[in-house]
Amino acid sequence: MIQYKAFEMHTHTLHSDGKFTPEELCRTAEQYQFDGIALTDHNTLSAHAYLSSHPDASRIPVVEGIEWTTFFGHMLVLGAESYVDWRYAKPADIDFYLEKIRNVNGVIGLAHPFEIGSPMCTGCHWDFQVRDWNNINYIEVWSKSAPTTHFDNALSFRMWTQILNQGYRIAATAGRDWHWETETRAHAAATYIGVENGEITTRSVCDAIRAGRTYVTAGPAIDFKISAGQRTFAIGDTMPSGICSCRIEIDETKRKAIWGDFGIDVSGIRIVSNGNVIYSSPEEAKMESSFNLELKPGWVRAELYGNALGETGKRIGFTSPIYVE
Amino acid sequence: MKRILDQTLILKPENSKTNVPISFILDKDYSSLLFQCRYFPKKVEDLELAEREIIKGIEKYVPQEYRAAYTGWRDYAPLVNLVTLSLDYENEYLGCAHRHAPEQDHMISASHASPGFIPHKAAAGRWKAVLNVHAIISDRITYELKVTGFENSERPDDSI
Ligand SMILES: [Zn+2]
Ligand SMILES: [Zn+2]
Repeated sequence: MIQYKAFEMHTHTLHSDGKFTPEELCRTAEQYQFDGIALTDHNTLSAHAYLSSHPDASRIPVVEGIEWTTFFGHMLVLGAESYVDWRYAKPADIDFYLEKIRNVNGVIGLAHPFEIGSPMCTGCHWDFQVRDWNNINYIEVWSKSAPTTHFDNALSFRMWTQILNQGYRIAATAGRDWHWETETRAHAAATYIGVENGEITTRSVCDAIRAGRTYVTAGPAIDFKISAGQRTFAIGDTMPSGICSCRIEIDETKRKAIWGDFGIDVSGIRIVSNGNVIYSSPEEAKMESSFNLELKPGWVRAELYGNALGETGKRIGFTSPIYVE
Repeated sequence: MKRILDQTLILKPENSKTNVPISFILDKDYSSLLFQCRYFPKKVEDLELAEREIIKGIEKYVPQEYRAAYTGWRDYAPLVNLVTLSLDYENEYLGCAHRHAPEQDHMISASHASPGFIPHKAAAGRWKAVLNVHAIISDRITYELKVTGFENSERPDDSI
C-alpha cells in the first residue's frame, strides 16, 4: 500500500556550503516534523560517507543525493549507484550526462531552474538545453522558504506545466535549499512522497518519484483520487479518458504546528487538465469534495488556493499529475 | 614533510565557467596530503563594475512583470568571485569543497578527509586538483595552491 510521507528534498551541510553538521541537519529536520530528508550537498557525497560510518548520527531517514552544482544549472541527483562527473557538462550536451546518470539508476530533478544567475549566483539559473525531457524525473517547482512569495517559483511552475503539456511525465517537488537554520522558524513547504508501505529508503523514494507519486504543499495534506468505472486512480497513475468522478480530501491537522502560524488558509480547489482549469470549487472549499468531470487525454492535477503569508489568492498546494490516455 | 606543489595562477573573467586542472605525480606513498588554497580578491571592489553587472543580471533573469520588487543593485552587492577545489586520484573523484571562504586548507589520508572529500590513501600516482572556476567578476584574481606530503611520523593538524 502507498503511504504519503513528508520530506524536505534539498539540504546542505558543512560538507559543502551549509552550516549544519549532518547531525544538526537531521535533528532540525525532525523538529520540522519531516518524515525524511534528501541530503544534497554541492558536488560531494562525503556527508553520506560520514553518515554511513556514523549510524547514530541520524534518526530521520536520509535519502542519498547530491546537487550537481555546474556552471550552467543545478540539478538534484538521488540514489545514483555510482558517481557521474558533474564538471564537464556543457549546455548542449546535458542529455549525454542525464543518460549516464539514468544508467546507474539515478533520479534526476532540476533545482530552482529560474533562480537569478550570473553574476549574483553563477550557474544557479537553468541554462542547459534538455533535448529529451524523458531524462528528467522531477522539477523543484518550489524553491526556498516561503515559496509562495518568490517570482522564480511562478516561472518554474509555468515551465513544469508547459513540459507536461508536451506529453512528458514529470513529478513536482519543493526544496528549501536549506543551508542553515534561521533564528525564527521559517515557513517551509513539504514534498509529500508516496512510498510503498510507508517505508523510507533511498530506493523507495526514488521509485516513488519515478512513478510520479508526489505532491507539494505550503501546509495541508492532500488526498486526490479519480474513479472511472470500477477502478480508482491516484497521483502518478495512468487512467482512461472520459467521464469520471474526482475526490479531494484536505487534512489540515498534519504538521499543523509547523505551518499553522503562517496564515495559510484553503479557500478553493481547482482541477487543472492539460494546462486549463476544468473545475473550480463553488465556495469555501470543504475538507472533502467529490464531483464528476470529463477528462481528455493528457494529464490532470489538483491545486489548492487560498491565503499564505499575508497574500491572498495564492496557490498553496498542488499534486503531480494523474495521466490520462 | 615535503612540498609537492606550489603554484600561482592568474584567473580572469574569461576563465569563468571552466575547470582548470593542475596535475602532479606523487613518486611515493605519503601518510597524508595537505592542500592549501588561497585566492584574492574575494569581493569585487570596483563598485561601478558591480552595479553594471548586477543590472545586466536583473534585466536578464527577472521578467519585467516582477521587477517592482527589485529595489536596487546594492541589494546584491558585494559581488564575489568563486573558485572551488575538486580532487581526483588517477580517475577517481574524491570530492569537492564547495565553499565560499577564499582561504581553505584540506587534508586527505586513508583514515580522514576534510569535509567535502572522502578519505583516500595519499598514494603514489597521478593526482589532479581541478579548480572549478564558477565566477571571476573582478578583472583578475590570483589563485595559490600549495600541496604538502606528510610522512607517517609527522602529523598535520587534525582539525583541518
Ligand atoms: Zn542550487
Ligand atoms: Zn542547493
